[in-house]
Amino acid sequence: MKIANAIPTRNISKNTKSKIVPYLYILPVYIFLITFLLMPLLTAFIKSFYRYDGLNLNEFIGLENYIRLFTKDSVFYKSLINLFVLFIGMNICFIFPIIAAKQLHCMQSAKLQYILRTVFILPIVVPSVVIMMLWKFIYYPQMGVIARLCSNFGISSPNLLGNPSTALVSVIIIGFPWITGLSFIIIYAALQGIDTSLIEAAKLDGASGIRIFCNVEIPIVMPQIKGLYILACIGQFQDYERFLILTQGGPKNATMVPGLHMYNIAFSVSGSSEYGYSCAIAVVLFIITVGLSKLLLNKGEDI
Amino acid sequence: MKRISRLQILSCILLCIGALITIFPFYIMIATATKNNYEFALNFWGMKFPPEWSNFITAWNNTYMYIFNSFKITFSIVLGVVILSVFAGYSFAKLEFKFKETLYLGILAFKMVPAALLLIPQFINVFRLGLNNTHAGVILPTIASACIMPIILSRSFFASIPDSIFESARMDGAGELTVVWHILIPLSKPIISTNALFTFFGAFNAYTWPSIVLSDDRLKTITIGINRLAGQYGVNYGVQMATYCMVCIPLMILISLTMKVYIGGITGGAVKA
Repeated sequence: MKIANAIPTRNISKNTKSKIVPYLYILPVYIFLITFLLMPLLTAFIKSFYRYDGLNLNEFIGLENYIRLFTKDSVFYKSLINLFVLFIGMNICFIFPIIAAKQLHCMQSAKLQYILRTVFILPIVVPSVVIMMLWKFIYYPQMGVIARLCSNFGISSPNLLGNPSTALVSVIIIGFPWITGLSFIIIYAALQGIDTSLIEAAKLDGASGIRIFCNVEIPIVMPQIKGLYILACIGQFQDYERFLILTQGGPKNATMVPGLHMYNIAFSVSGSSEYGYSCAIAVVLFIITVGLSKLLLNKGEDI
Repeated sequence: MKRISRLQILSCILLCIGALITIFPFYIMIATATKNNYEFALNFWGMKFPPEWSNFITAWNNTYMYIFNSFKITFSIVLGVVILSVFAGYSFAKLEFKFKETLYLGILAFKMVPAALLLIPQFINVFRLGLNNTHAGVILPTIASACIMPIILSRSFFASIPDSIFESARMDGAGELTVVWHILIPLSKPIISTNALFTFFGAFNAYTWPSIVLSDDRLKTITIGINRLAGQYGVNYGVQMATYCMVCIPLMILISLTMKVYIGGITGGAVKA
């Protein structure tokens, strides 16, 4: 089989007048990757050893950025603690789509099933910026939805995003009940794809609905769950967009995350832009992310 | 038997509540968009009929420029990614050449680079190339980071097309470009449309990168535009929400036309890998 394949291909490469064609087809990709991925990557590592503001200041300072990051930067530590809280929050959020997909899968009425499925997929259509802005509106101190609800019941309206003790939790709650389109569809489709004879065999053996779910269905959709979990973890570590839109890290750094800290240092309106220092944060973030995904992937293979 | 059905009813009710909460923000968005400021203060929860059309007209006048920019940028990115992925995928799947495996691994390695690491150095890089505050400064780096996954997916799809089809075309004297245009592309519509669609969504929704590169207001995309406008409107919530509706409409049309491709792409492993 292999030989039979190999002979005609060799003929072709002789027949086609040049051997350059394949390289020509790949060349544009490599031009793009080198210019816009490799170059910045190298810049990040190199500039993390510099004091660099993008204009005149460009001096080599060795490990000073890293030393400053780990010894003097209290905001960075605060952001790591926040990240840990967010990570716990993410784990709670992660369970909801799985349960929802399972419940929807079991539903008897096909019509209701179709309607609910459409509703849960709907948020995909809406750009994430709009969703953030809508939730910002929900949280508005006096005009927002929660404030209105409170005033209906005669409670003074809380400023959830503006209060350091509630801001982080409020951001986690965004998107409640977290049945976001992507993970929901993937798990739902995986459940639909399970061979019904397996479920029937389990039923014949007298397994209850919950036992079937835990011992038959969960193990079958485990690859999808694992993949989604890894994506969610990596996404959580890198995500700062929603904090950028919602709170800018405030109040009092209560919603600061490492990615946003990096962003603020480079692009802050008030202070000077310390690109070198923010590159150092990026490198540390990179090492954490790669380490984490290695850890998760290895563990994933064990299960 | 009766217990199970009761449990089913409970789970059904819970799901319906979940669904209601999920669409509630969008209901608020549409309901508020139909009201002017006075009605907003009086009747917060309800919808108004007929809607306050002036809200939508103001919103359109404020955003059509941003929407145009968004489409220009997004289509350029999709086009770039599709072209790169078709040619590179074809090369890796169907052509023989030296260092093929090494070159492919080289591309795979870039998949490991996290977006957050690249933000600042990419900005420095784009600044040096003189692309700061241009649409090219948004388009080109996005193509670079968005083309890796489509290349991997296209390669595995193209590999499943039998060699004999390409060979017979070559026997008939077709050049490589003809083979790609007349045989490969018609045969690979599913994977090309999946790649195009996912790239489209990613590019249209992008916020951080365009917001850094584009400082001129006339060049801004809709995602940055609405954030800026939200501050400008102040307390005119009707117009603000009408603007959000405006942003959702293009994506809504697109996804209702391509729902099958989208769901197929998600469940078919586009995300798993």
